[in-house]
Amino acid sequence: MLDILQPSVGFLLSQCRSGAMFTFTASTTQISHLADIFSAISSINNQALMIISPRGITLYAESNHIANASSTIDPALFSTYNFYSEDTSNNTQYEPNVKEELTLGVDIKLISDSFGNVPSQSSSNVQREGSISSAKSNSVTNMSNTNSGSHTNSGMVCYMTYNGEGFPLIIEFEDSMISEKIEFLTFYTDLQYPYAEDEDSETPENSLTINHSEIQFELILKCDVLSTLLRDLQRINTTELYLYVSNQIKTLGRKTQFGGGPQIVDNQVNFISKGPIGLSKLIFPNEKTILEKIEIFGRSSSSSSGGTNTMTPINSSIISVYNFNHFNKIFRSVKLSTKCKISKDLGGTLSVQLLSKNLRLPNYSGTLITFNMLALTSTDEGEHMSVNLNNVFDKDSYEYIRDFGKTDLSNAPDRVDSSANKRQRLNLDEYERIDLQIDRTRDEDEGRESEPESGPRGLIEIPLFL
Amino acid sequence: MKLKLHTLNTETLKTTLSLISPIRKFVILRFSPSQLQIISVNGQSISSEPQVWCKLQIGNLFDQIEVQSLRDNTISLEINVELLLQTLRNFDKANSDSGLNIILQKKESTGQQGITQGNSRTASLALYYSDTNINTNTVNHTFRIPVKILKNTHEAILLREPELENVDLMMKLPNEFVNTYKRLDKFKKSESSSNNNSNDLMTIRSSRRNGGYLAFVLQEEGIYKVTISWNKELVIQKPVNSNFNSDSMQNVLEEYTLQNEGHTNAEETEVENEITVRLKDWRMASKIVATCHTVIFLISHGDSCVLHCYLDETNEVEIIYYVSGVRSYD
Repeated sequence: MLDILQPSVGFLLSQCRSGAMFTFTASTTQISHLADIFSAISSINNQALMIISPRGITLYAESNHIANASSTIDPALFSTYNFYSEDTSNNTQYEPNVKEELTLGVDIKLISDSFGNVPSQSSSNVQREGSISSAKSNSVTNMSNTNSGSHTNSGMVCYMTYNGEGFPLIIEFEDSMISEKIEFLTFYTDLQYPYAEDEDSETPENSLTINHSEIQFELILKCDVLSTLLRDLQRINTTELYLYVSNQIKTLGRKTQFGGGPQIVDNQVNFISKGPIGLSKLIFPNEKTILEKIEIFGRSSSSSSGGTNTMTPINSSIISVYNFNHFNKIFRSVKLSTKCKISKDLGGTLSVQLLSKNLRLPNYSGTLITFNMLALTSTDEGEHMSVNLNNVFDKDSYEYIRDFGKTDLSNAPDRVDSSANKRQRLNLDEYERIDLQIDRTRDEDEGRESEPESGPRGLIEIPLFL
Repeated sequence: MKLKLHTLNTETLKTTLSLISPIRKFVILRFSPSQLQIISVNGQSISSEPQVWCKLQIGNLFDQIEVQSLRDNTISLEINVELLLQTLRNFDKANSDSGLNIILQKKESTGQQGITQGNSRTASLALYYSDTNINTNTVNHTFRIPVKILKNTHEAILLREPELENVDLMMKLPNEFVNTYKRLDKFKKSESSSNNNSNDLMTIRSSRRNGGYLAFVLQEEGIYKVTISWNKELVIQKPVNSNFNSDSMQNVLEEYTLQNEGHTNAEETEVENEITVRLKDWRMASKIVATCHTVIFLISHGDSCVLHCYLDETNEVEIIYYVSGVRSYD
């Protein structure tokens, strides 16, 4: 009997070795946190790539090659996390050439829905084992669901099981009353995870990830303010979003030929909305606790670094344009998160990293959700316009016209190009007015009081009434 | 034909009606000197699911009862349940000492009570009460709800209480069982994307295994499969008679606590009974399961299932919810 079985077993084992058969089981009580992450990813696309490995569960979704989202759920979030393969059961040593991961395509929207509708579980503290037993066969999923807390209402436990290619992803919610087992069909997906570490060479050229050597700016913001801001942008039906980032040095006081007053770094993060009602500018509060970090980089022109184009911190301003529909896909995640890091590279990729805390699990560091999206390419004209966009609502723009003539135009600080055009046009206007002096009211005349030839003004006016 | 009733308290009647009112617009009230049956069936095609039969002791509902008819003193009326319920609610809100009077009237009759011509099929059920308002003025309210009188010949064909030929399994469902309906609702929502979600099917599986097993299986081909099962113990009752009718139910209930099904042989334990029903037919019972004190689930493998419920501890109001299985043709 054994003799007959032997060859088939050998065949099976060889099959396993080539196909790298892995089995994955996990259990957790952190259902709402998982629901949050799943729903964040599903805002990009209904279908997602799921990579299960001993390092955690990675989710990746992509939308039309212009936006993507990814998140890795740490095994620490699970009470039990078992990842084992059949063929490594005999030799426990780690084989680096064996890629220890399971890759599957899932409908993340459906999974997210099934998580989201689970009745709120108890907030009881569940003792975590945090045991990651990879390469261990026949490990039994033993739950240590100790409801020692005061809340003893039935603690919901979620089990996840995946037996490899061709099997459904099984998610089971269980409490003392009901168990709900959902078998999600999995499929092959040709989505490629852009952050794959193992194959250093295989990162696709066109993958939408931020180029860390060409970072243009980097912000760290507080998420509650950002989510309020995004909601407001949504309410005014924003179609295009201009993100203005500036840390230019501003001189306080009026600039004289001897230099200005004290100089300060003027940090600005402005969200300028373009939509059916026109333009609106939402200014992100420049408060150290809310706008935690703002850094702008530029290529260093100095040869000190040996001629290589390294990016060094500079004081400048940058404006970039995004399709708000895509940008706002981060909204759901922003709501869940505490801190947000926004960075953009020279290639036009914006990366938004969100750290979502899990308050139920104080020791858990939180889950990071990363969004990448492409900025809208702006033509030269567009860029020119967009730089001015930030100044549309500036007091300077208005003051300038009101204070016209009071200050020396050539010394006016921070004037933008278009206002220079305007200024020129107004100057011409002024000359015409001086020439004609027809329908000037007295108020307007006062606006031109700084004219040195104000004396003969009355003389010119008299003939008009004669 | 004469129907005249009087009551001070409509609570039981109201609760019962409110449980079945979401199912269909019209219900049949069948009055006899001993019993009031409230029946929810589809008038056009009797086979449409579910069928609900409520049986109430008329003596407990009304203090004055006059039911006379040539046909075994039974009067059957088809009535808009929502209108009736609304009238009962109005009565409840009113400050009435004299109680509620219900009489069957010939339509357009001007207060002449209880006279209906034999061949007339349209009549109205008049409900009247007096309301004493804040100034101690008495206001008389009269509501006339149009009804259709069902002839016995007609109803004899159509209105027969279903019977289960063969009861395979019988189990008492705990009160928390209503939670399973909430779980099922969740999949109704996510399935709304499919075109004909009103015809979504669900398979109910049950067995004696592990102190009673009851599960609902929902499947969307190629996408997912959901199994919702009950984890707590279900008290299994061995069917007394192999066939079920509501009369035998009473006996079962009395013996219920005593006769917990003892040790059964392993073979019987493993037998799994299942039935496929429309999800919406099952879901409509959620309010009944949530409200009733006693709920007993009966299954006849491949044929039909029944929820036999008693509204309260008194077992005076009996609600029987029948769902026939969907025949598969493959």
